[in-house]
Amino acid sequence: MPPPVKPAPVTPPPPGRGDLDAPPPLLGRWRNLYLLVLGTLGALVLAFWLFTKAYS
Amino acid sequence: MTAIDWTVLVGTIAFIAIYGTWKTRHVQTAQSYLRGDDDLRWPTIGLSIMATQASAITFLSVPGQAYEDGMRFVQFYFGLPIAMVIISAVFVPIYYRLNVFTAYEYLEKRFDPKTRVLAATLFMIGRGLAAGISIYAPAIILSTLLGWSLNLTNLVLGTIVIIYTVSGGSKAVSQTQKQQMMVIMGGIIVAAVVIAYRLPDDVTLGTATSLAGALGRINVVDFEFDLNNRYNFWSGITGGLFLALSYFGTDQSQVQRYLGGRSVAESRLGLLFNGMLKIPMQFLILFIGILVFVFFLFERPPVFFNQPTLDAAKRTAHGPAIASLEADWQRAFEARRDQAVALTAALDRGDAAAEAAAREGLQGAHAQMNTVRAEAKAVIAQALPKAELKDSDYIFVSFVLKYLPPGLVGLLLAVILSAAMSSTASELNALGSTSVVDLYKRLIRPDADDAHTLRASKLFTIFWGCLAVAFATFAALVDNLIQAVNILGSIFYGVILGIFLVAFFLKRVRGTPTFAAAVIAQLTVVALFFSSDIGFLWFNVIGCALVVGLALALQAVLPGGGRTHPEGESV
Repeated sequence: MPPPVKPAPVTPPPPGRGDLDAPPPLLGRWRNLYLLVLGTLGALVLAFWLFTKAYS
Repeated sequence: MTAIDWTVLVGTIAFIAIYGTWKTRHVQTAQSYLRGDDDLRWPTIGLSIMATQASAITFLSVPGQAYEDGMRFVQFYFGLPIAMVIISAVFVPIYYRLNVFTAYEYLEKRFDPKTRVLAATLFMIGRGLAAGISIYAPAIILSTLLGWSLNLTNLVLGTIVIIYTVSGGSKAVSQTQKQQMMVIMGGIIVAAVVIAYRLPDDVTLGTATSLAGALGRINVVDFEFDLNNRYNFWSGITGGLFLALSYFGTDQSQVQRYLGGRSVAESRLGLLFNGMLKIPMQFLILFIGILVFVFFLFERPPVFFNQPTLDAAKRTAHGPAIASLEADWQRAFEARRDQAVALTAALDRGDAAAEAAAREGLQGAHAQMNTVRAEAKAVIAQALPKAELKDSDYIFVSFVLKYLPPGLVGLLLAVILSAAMSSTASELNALGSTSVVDLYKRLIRPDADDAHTLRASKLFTIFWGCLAVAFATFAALVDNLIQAVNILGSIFYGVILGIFLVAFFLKRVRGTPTFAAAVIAQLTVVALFFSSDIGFLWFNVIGCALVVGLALALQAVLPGGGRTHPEGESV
């Protein structure tokens, strides 16, 4: 039985795809940006809850 | 539809399709076709991600859902920002490091070929069916209301998408989605402003919200835990999180959008952009439904929003019964309108006693209208036993056609068609890529060169496009279109996510236990779907938890099962 053919990559893989640890363009660290997104979620939920309380 | 509407509609759609085709006319390699040229910036990625998720169903179903059920559907998206953070922090760096073309390619590096093929197959089943619904949903409604041929609408919509997706691949999809998303966002804002403007002069936005609140439509957040309640805070933050993690992290139609980024940072920013904007956008679309609801407190709505079906029922022997119910409907509407006017005046004066009385009167009159509407639906069911009785998907587009000025009708229809094309294009693009990279090139032609791979990618995209059009042509109208897509996704996504979570976080679990766990979990979820009343969002949690738990258990009893490829990596 012939050995299985190893699939060729779709194209030869490039040496790399840039700096994987590059910082974000704002707020200095990714953690700060993540906290901004999660903080916005918290603020939206609070605003929606107040909206519901005010108009229900 | 006026000539201005046709000009706006055809001009917008044609411009986007031609722009996408022209802009990507130089795509000549498989890499360029499957992943663009890895040069997308974060605004394009973010808009492309949003456009992929925002299907036509979003604009047909969601305002109608707010009209009928209030704003609680927005809670469905509460898990999404958390998912965007997790995907940015964990998934994206791994995909970039391994330089994959599809999400499932990673599973072979981490586990084995069979797990990769299983996940790719589950994706293709779920997404292939959803692609049909993405075309069918707007086609059935637009063809009904505008008198267009359903088959022709399906065919035209499908053909336009196939042409630019096949010509430019992933890059064409992202480029056109940027334009489509701008049309969509502009259309939403214009619609909200125009509907608010169409309300009576003494009804401010605050008064409109109070009127809707009096009738239970301002139910945005509900913290009560109830497993059978589809939309509350807890199902959104848990089930919604799992669904969003699976959809954005492992569904190739989304993964392909950010894999083409210029760098990890660009992909992450695109995802976080979506995490920040998605909930406000959904809130706005739901609020448009609320404004339409308030508009119809002062303007008589039809007793049944699917006018062609209502007209057909009137032509049967049940016509007199429907005419009688329409007279009841008119009386009930007038009573409700009087109460709405009274509540508006009381709110304006700040008269608490009058406000309480008018609120109670409004609720009673609204209940009476609901009774008449239910009776009308029952008569329609007798007159036309095969008729679809759920008409909420027709509410918004009926309003647009009847009450918006010329030009805006064309713009809003362009929004709906843009959304249909943007999500369908991503789906076809991803289905074509997965078919080639994970199945054809992996199992059938591993030695295919670049030109052959490019040709095969285009042919598979055409194949999936034709299949989606065929499915759209023969599909029957399902209960609620947006729910149908989400239910379909929830059945498969939990299991796929479970496979990826094991891959990312459980280093010692190997391929065979994961594969067996995924098969058992998928069969269990399908069985539960047919035999239980569990809210569909929970299938994401159940499927995922079953895969993780069973994989751990099976790894313990099958310690030699599977292998971990040396290239694969976990967190």
